[in-house]
Amino acid sequence: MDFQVTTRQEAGDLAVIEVTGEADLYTAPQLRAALLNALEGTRWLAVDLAQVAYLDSTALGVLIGALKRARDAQGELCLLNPPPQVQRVLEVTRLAKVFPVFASAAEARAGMQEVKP
Amino acid sequence: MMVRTPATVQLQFPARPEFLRAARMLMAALASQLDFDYDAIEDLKLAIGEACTNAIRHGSILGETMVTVTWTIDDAALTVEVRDEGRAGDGEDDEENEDLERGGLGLLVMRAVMDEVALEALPEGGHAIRLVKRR
Repeated sequence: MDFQVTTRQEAGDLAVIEVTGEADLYTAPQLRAALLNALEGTRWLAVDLAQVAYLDSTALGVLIGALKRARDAQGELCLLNPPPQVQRVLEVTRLAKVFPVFASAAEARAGMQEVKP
Repeated sequence: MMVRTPATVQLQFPARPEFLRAARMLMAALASQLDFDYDAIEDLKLAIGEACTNAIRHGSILGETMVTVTWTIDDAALTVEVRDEGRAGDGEDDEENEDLERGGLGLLVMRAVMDEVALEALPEGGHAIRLVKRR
């Protein structure tokens, strides 16, 4: 499965970044570029991980970096549908509680609306 | 399919990120032949990925160096050693350091999913990470 990142704009200023494949040191620059690019247009990001087959600490670091930037801008970054192997990485790094997690873009929009200043 | 033990398997690749996937795939293939279950195989892929990522970060500082992965299989355990040819302390901070505690996160992952993790700065230069998963 080739690594792919696609971004789509949803209502309510929400950018959904859909990640497919294996996110590691090799593919992290692509992920970082997509997140930074999305952050130029909005401070509300939802990263859809449903199609991610593998995610390592480097990719996780990229997500943390983008989360920090979003929050610095009074926005938020949430994760959509992390599969079990991603959940595992989040748990062992004790970062599971750092990211808000939702099952769909609609839920993310509603959930993050609550924290909107 | 059984693996007759003891056995040693070795993989050597240039310290470049595009070879991470090959290292993970060989790990998965060996682990499945050793009858580790699905979750254990996923954990082993995570651990080897993190160890090789560290090795690539260290090794790539000096230009084209090699990473050597050695799997040692016996009846008690699967042991993996990942060696790089970097200098001690290399690769700890580069321009991407804003990605919070990267090296530290990798170590956290390895320690959580393996039974033993040992790091060593080699006297001849470079580093070795030794990972053990009991069978």
